[in-house]
Amino acid sequence: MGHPGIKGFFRAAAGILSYPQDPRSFAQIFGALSSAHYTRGRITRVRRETPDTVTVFFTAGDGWIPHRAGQWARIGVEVDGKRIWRPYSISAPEHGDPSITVKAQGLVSEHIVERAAPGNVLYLERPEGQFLLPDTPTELLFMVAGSGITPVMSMLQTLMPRRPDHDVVLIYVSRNRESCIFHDEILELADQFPGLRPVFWFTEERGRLDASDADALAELCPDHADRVTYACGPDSFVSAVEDLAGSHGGTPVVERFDVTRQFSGGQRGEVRFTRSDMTLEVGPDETVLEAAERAQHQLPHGCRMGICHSCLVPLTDGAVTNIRTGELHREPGPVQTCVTRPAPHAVFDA
Amino acid sequence: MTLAPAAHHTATTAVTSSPPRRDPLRLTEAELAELAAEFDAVRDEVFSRSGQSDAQYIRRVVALQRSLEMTGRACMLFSRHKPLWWAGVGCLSVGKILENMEIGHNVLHGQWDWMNDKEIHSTTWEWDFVAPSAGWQRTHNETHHTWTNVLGKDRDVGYNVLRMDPDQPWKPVNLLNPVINLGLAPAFEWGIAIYDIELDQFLAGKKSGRATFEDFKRVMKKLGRQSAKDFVVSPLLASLTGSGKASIKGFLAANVIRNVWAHTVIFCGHFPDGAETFTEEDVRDESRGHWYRRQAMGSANIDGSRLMHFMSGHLSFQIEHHLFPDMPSNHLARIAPRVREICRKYGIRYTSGPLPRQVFQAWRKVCRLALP
Repeated sequence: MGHPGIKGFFRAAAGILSYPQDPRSFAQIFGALSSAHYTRGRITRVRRETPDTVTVFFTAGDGWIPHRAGQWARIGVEVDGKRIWRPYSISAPEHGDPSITVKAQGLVSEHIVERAAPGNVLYLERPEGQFLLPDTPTELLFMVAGSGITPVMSMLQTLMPRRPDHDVVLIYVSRNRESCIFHDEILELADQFPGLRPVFWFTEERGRLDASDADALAELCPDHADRVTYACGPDSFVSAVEDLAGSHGGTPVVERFDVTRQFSGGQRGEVRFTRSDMTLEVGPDETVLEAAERAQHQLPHGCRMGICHSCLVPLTDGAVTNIRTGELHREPGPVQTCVTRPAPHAVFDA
Repeated sequence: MTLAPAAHHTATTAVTSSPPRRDPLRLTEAELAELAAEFDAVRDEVFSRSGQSDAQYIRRVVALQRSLEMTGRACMLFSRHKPLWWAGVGCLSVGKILENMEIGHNVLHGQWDWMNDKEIHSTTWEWDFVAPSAGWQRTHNETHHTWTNVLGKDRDVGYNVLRMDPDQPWKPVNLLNPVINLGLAPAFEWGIAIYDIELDQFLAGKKSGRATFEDFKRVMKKLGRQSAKDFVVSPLLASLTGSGKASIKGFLAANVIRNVWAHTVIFCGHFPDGAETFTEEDVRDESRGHWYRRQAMGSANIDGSRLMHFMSGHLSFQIEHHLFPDMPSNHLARIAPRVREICRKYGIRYTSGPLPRQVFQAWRKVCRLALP
């Protein structure tokens, strides 16, 4: 249905009969992608890129907005019955069905690489991110490492057809030819558009590339200092690119991919309540609820032993550990404050 | 711990497990800690399992419920034809019962919160019941499940309108106990809606006028929408086929069937013989072991078929549900033998019986306590 006003009218009318449920909850029985709480997508195609990497193409339902090249979206998938959200860069060019390219590292990514199949439902948040193409054409240098290629692939596929005469150098570091995601597609793209010059650097053959070494870089791209630089990959790689660019006064556009993060539990922690603009230290034996109460900040609560779920408060960032199970919880969403501790930082919408 | 069983509790007890080897009220602190560890282990075993099949289970129940409800409503559009009227009433009754019990009650307990899915979550679910979810979560999850069977604290002991324990002082109005309960059964959802406003707490000065009024407004709003759906809009649509009147009768029948069934199951939870009550003194400085013991002693199960358990939202496993209120309902039947064994070991009576007997005992209590 096209017109939002008409759609809204029908939804309101159906809502009288479906109350207290949203009519979209009933539409789901017939396979519709609509939902009262989420934007949902359905996988249309899964393409294997390397032995441990797949690209998942999907159509998105109501609520999705078309992505801009270089952006990422938080994607929710179910692992052992539990919805888990992770951010993924969108690898498809603008103006087409979106796709994400996922390398099997970490719980969710491994699940996607092993299990994703056409017809599966994905949960989506809107694309966001400031890793974007420049508005005016300039000479560009893309420095990427590993799966850092994913947003850059979207950018190249968007940029080159639009401006075939564009002058772009891509320096792409990966372990070897086999693990090099999009290797053939990049060569094809370079064939079609002579303005794109890809340089592949395989660390198995040539050792590590020191991205902060001006001489090493000059061998690959002599005018690197004159180009607008984009960098995407692990933190150490991106920082090296920034260091070099900084030395000649440039500020590269960067995106960091950090797979591992460290959380500590059982020690002192810190919570932040955004709505009341309050930051509190949480002692080694205190729960989030107790710390809040000590600071005269009232939070909802009931049984105070993790059974009644009256104390749910939305976690928006960071992580908490459940003091009863030791389980680490870092999904944004409601958590039981009476049995959790920050691990070691947690931000709540309260 | 000064708790001692009152004489009237033992007089009519139907003991359904083997005779207690120890007196549960004389357990030492160390024994209670052991008991807590044993129950915790049951809980941990369930919560450490992969949730894949659990998630599939609840989604299938939700899909079944929605299909039944849509089919029932479609039948009602043509309900002047007798077979369709019966089919419609059947689908809607079962649909409403599933929505309220196996889905609504359990979702609102947070049993499915671990899925991290807002579509099936205690913070977003609104059930097909006149009483708004939020008020019920307060009186049920917070008050009843925390203070289970503590006289003066757990207002579910008689819902302020019935005398359900000999230790509650008798008043002349209690003579109406059976009449009130008979009227409450078919109007159960309305009764619960009014109960959740907590007028008695307002009158006792324990709840502010503003909070009471807000709750009242919320109930009236939901009551309006619930009634509009079943008794105005649906019949208007049905009147296009000449089925208007028949559909009103059909919706009324489905609502009453759901109310009577919910009332029946819920009265079997804590009122049959063998379910104990407690005083505020008993629960002072309660440890987790004390708490588990009180939950097990204060609740009663219903024996029956898998279908009966399913249709009762697994509240027929009231003991297990009270020990682990946030445990997904599809696990309760499986853990019941272990819970029974732990209860036996510590001498806690595991009260359980077939539906007719439990119903009879609950009603007998309603009638007997009408008199001083």
